[in-house]
Amino acid sequence: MSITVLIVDDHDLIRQGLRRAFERDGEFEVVGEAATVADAQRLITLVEPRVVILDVRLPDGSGADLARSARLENPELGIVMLTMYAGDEQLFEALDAGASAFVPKNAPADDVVAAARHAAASPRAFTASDLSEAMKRRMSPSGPQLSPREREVLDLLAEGLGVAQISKQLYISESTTKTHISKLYDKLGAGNRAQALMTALRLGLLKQGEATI
Amino acid sequence: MVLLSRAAVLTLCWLIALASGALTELVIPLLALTGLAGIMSLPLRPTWSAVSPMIEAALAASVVASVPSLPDPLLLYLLVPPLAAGLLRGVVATLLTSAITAASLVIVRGVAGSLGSVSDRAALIQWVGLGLAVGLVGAWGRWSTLRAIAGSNEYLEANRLLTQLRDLARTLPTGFDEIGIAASLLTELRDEVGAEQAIVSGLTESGRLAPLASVGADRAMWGAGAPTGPWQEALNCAGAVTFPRRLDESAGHTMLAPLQLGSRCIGVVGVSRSTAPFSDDEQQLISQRVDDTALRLDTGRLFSDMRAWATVEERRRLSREIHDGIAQELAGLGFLVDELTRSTTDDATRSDLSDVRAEITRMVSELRLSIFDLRSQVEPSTGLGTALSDYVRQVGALAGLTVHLLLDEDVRRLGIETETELLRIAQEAITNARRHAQARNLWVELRVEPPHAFLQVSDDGIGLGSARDDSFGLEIMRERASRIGASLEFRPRGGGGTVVEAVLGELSNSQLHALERGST
Repeated sequence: MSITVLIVDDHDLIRQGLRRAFERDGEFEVVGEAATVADAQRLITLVEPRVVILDVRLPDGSGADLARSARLENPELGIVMLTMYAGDEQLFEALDAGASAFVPKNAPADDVVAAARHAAASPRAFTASDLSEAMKRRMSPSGPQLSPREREVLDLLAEGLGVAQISKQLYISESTTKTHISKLYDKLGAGNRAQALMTALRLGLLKQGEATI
Repeated sequence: MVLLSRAAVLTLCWLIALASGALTELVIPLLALTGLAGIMSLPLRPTWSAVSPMIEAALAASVVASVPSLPDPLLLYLLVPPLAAGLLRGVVATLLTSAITAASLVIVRGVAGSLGSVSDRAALIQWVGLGLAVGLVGAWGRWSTLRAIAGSNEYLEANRLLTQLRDLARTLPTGFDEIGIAASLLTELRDEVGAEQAIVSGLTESGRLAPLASVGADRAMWGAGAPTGPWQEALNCAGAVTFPRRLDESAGHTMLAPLQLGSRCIGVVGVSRSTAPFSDDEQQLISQRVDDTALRLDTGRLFSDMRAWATVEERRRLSREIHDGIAQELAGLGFLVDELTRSTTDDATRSDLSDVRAEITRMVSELRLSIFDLRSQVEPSTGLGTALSDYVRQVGALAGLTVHLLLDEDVRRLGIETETELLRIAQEAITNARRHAQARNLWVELRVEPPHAFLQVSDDGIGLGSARDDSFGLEIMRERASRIGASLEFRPRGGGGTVVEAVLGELSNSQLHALERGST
């Protein structure tokens, strides 16, 4: 039995290209096309496709919102989200909406077909080509950025050293050390050493066990 | 208006008297009223015109009440004072005038002992009431006229100012920019009072000071960030503040002068030197210069706000247009080429088609990056560092560049306009590295210590080569740099590639690094 597909995109050329790609594959049957959120909603209930190919942005609303409501109604529906936008924002939006796959529109049609196959097989396991990189970007700290010197000072503070010891260790004057420390406190939004180290730990600027508070 | 209605009512009084055949017995009070009307129609001073309707009311009522029969031709005149009051002074005067009319009638009739008759009282109530109604109509007419005038005046004024602004913006070389205005103020101060260090800081909407321009410091100066101490004091707008240190905390003297617009403070100008404290005369001169600049600076700020707003709108529109139009069509075309590639049996054709497909993929990727470029902007809450790191990481990932990012931002911030221009310079430089230089590595370094900033973008690509000077957006980058008073340099990188460097403030690269190493 072939996998039924609904293609939702407001551009004729895109729908046409994707339809041909699916038809050539043999495993799929395109059961409908829609250009708007409203039409797509109607068709999803009417023809009950196994997989929906959905653009993130549609003329009358957001594809991500449509994906979210479709997912709520049918946990087994395969949802492949397409986007022209670059940036992780859309990817995480799709993940959040409960999509099964996310494909940028510069990818070849085969990628979309492969994503649809995945979506039909495991609709609730999210896949995207750039997923791990995007996760990495999201996990890395976007909080305060310390200069190399401030990092050194922070590390020494974490070891429990005082101002005099730090300045000796780094071969800088005590007043310069104090300036670095106060800048460090400012950046971490801390009022004292303990707060600064706690914040640094929380932000991942220090590793667990590194600090003696 | 008042004159006309007074004359009309008076004529009516005479005509009714004539028609009713009672002219002979009424001629004396009618003449009295005519005289009164004549006096009241003389041109009056504004202070006098405030009470004239009330005096007219008292006199007219007395004349009317003194005629025992209370004839209609005379009673009619009682409408004139409230109407005049309404037209000239508004609702309150109308009420007062009507009250005075009523009181005068009652008093005069009471003295004559004829207040008792029912017809008498009815006539009085009727005419005083009518007078009040007419007066209120007059007051309403006055109010709506005033409002209409006020409304159109606002537009006239706005129109005049905007026209002026447009003409000015056209004639000035760099438009109407606050940074240029601030810089020229600092040059003036340096020449006139021998200021060694000076800074103009504007107050942002979030209540922070953001430097607009500075001169003379080789290390960080105050006047940025949340205002504290003397800066906070200067922002109270209660005159200049002095303290015995320079702006960079070294030995010397500083004067802080508030940039004041009426009672509103829009920023602070700091001036310092190491030689001697500023004398009273010099302080006065500085305050004078600062006061002269405040309005121009604020106008410049308004203009840049408008320009920034228009620019953001236009960038959004452009990104939408690319996104919904050409980019989608090209992507659709790509899918069709995929289909052709798969259906052809000829190897040579297939190879050609996959070349075409590769080219289409490259173009769509390029358009996606353009859309991303157009949508990136500095958020007021997070600032330049976050915007730049988000942008660089994303573009690095999409373009397959290895990114080495070094950010060192002070907690104090530059003005948002300056931050935006620096982001755009970085974007342009990164786009060059990505698009033309065939680079594999990208180094981006940003150090901000207001009022100084240092931005460096380098790549290991093939370099600019013999590119024409106006290609690669170099001209646009220069324009952006000059708008914020930054210097911009392009040079080949040792080991291949290009370095683009923007420096804000009079601080060289090596000095900044010295600052960074803590050898201050």
